Amino acid sequence: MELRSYIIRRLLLLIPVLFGVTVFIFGITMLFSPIERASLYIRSARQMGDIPAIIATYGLDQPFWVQYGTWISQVFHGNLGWSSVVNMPVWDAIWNFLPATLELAIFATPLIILMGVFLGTRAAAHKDRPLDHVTRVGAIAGWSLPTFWLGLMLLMVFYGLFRGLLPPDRLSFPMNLLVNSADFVRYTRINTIDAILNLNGPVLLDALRHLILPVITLSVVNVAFIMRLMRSSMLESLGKGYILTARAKGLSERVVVNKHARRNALIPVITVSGYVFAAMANGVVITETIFTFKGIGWWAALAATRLDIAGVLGFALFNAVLFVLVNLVVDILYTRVDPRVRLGGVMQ
Amino acid sequence: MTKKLIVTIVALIGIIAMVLPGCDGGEPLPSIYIGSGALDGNGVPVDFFSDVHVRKAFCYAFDYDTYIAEALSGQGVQRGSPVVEGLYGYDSDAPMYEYDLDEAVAEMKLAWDGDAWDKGFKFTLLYNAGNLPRKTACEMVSEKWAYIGATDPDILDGEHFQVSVQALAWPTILGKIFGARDMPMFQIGWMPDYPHADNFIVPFMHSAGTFSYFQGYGDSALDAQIAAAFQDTNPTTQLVKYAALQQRYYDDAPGIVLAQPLVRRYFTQHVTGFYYNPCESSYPGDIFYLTKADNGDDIPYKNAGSLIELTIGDAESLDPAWQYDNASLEQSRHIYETLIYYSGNSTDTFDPILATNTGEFSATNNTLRFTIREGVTFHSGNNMTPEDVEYSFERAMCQDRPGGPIWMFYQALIGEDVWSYDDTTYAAIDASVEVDGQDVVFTLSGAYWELPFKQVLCGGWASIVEKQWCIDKDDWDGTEVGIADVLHPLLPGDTALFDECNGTGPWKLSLWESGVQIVKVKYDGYRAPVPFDNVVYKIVEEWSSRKLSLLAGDADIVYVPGTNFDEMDTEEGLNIFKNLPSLSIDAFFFNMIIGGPAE
Repeated sequence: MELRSYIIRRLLLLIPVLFGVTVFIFGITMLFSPIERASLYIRSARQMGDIPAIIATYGLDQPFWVQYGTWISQVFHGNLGWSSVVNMPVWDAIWNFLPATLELAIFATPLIILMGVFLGTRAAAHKDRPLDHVTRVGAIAGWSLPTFWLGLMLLMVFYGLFRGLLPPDRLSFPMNLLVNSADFVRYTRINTIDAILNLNGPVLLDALRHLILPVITLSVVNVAFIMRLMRSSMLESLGKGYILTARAKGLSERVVVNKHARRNALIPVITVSGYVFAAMANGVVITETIFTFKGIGWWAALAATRLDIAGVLGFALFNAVLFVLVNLVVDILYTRVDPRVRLGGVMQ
Repeated sequence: MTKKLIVTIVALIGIIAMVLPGCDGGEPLPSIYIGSGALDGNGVPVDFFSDVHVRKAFCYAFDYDTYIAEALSGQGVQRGSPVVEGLYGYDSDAPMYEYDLDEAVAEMKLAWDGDAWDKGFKFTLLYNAGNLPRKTACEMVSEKWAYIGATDPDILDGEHFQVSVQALAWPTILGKIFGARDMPMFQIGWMPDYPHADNFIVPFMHSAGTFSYFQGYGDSALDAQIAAAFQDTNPTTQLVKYAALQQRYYDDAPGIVLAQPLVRRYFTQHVTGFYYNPCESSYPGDIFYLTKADNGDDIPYKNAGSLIELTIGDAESLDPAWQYDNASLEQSRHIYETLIYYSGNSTDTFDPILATNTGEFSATNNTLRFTIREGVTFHSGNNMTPEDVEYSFERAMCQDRPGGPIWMFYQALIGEDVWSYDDTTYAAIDASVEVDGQDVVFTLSGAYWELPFKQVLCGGWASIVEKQWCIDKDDWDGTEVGIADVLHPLLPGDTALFDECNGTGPWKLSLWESGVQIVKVKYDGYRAPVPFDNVVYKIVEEWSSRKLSLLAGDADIVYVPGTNFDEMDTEEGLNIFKNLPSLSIDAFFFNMIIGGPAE
């Protein structure tokens, strides 16, 4: 199948996906009464007497199809609504908080993949030997650790015990003032990238220092996923006939493993890595909350818990688009990496 | 695959259509919290709490001291009525219920001609999930009545009086209080708009009160008594009337008044100068009088010249006329100023701020006259004039956002039947605030508003803005025709001053990252020395992060929840202020007609 028509066809699938997702979420939120949804606009007990006026103003007692139709028509005009939990349009909220999440994803994903590939390769190459056992147990232990517990422990040790060594937040106070001043241009709102683009070393170092703990937290918890996949794939690859041939030719074991076996074993890992990045970019709520690294996951969780319907719907749209695009990229990547696979699902 | 996808989506829509209750926004449902709905030992009737003996029994059966010790970590004082200490009109001799199980038993034996005691009862108490003090209060009610049933020699059954406890999300709780009204009892708190007894008595006791209406308490005679107290211009007789209302609350027992919380403030050792005013909406208090200097080594001294506060909850808007939440009002305290403000830690005496006097009242026309201070400049550099003051109040009344604070202006300046712009005219608003030379004259709707209106003037909603600057920002143009463009804004972002500020305060807005932080920088044109170059308000939801930041010196003050008071008491290097009386109250409310009155 031609690549362009394949991409167009896959992108057109976005429409029913987005419709289904939004109808489902909108329908679920309608299970809350108008008063429950009006209470979202209440910030203090003094405002409670105004709930009827709020319901009338926002049309919260209108039928489902009226409220959904109003929302959809606004979406077509480029208005995703107002996110009351962060007091800005939903569109702005996505663009404001996405950079923090992307920054975590950009640093955590390669680390997860590299560590996972390395550990998986070592484990497979030393199958059933102590190194294999230690590697697998260690990775699974990391996978089993609750993210919130690990994050808090790291914070208490490296920020509490070592009095401020590795702090939470995205930047220290002086650097925060600097990046928000006229002397610094925020091209991407990703502090590390912006620091490089502004040729500002202190901001870069400060941003990296603040990334250490959240990135470690994410990596420790998620590396097992890649490691296990890599190990399985390596074991399968090491059992192939061409490996036997390579060994018979007298190649060193290091060359056999790293050059011949690992390249083919990387194929599924590469495609899964796309999902890992997408999952990170989707937002890592607990890590973002504990380390005050406020990204899109933090915003989405806040919107959900406070019935910020516009925010929840906006995040659902973003999420759906993200995963459809990632699926598309991964499928195309797979055909490039494995020439046996063709677009449209046909394998030669 | 496309066909399968379409079929799946259609099926989903069908399921939702069947599940949703009529797809029409929902109707109130009958209560599921009253068991059988009859006084048969397996439930309670919908009017169970309409019997005063039932209410008194529950009031006597509540262990107030234990509640304060356990739920509030000792930081609370029992009160007998919603009028708490610190409010004008508070009666220190007002009676309050004491924990007395014998009295509780005696009252319950009188309830419903003895049936309540003989048959027993069963219902469910609800609290908002995550609120530990309210959970504790509900569990105490449940345990005490189980204990009474288990230990009474004639019953000896711990399930004779059965009160179950259940958690629900806060929005759901609010929906039940103000909508379904199906909770037998509900807990909620109140804090003042202005520190006057009327501001507490009306929501708790008036037939149209914020809470009393929904619990079915109050009547026209009591309403008249409340109005008579508020409208009494003789302080001596007025206080007697308020004392009578507090006695009435005790006699009727429409609720269990739990406690007036005592709050704390936690600063690092480097911050001094704190003083407490219970009306201060700002968590750190009046930061203008704080000082930060290197006062020791227990906590590292960082960020000299800056005051950093970590707390929860972002501001909703920086528009003074919109602000009704503490986070927003706190910003106004730094960026804007009012004509007068509370003096020291008083709640009914004032200091002049943007005025040179604290209001000259004339009984002839019920006017309150303020002379406007000269030489004050806005952050824009322009001088403040009496016309700016007039515009600030008229602007607020012409904006009148739904659910906002400006009802206080209408009540005080237009009349008791006026709660919104829709109830009045522009001419009436225009006439209520006038400029007379260097003076601004407010015409009160009644002489009795003199003190309460001065208290209203201390709120952030009464901040003074610059007229021409606002007009240049497409705010209200000062004419009747222009009102339509600004009236009843739906969203915070719909007002011109949502995220733009131009006040006369010591600090001006530098940065607002919604959900993240608000940074204010020193206004060099302020008429007095400003203690901090930067004032930072950061939103950090995670308690551990806030605590560690305080101990690392990266924050100067942090919000500490009551459940974490004890762990902070053992830390070194902190200035801790305890037992600060807040002007708030938390209470149980008895629902007189569970499910609401018949339509």
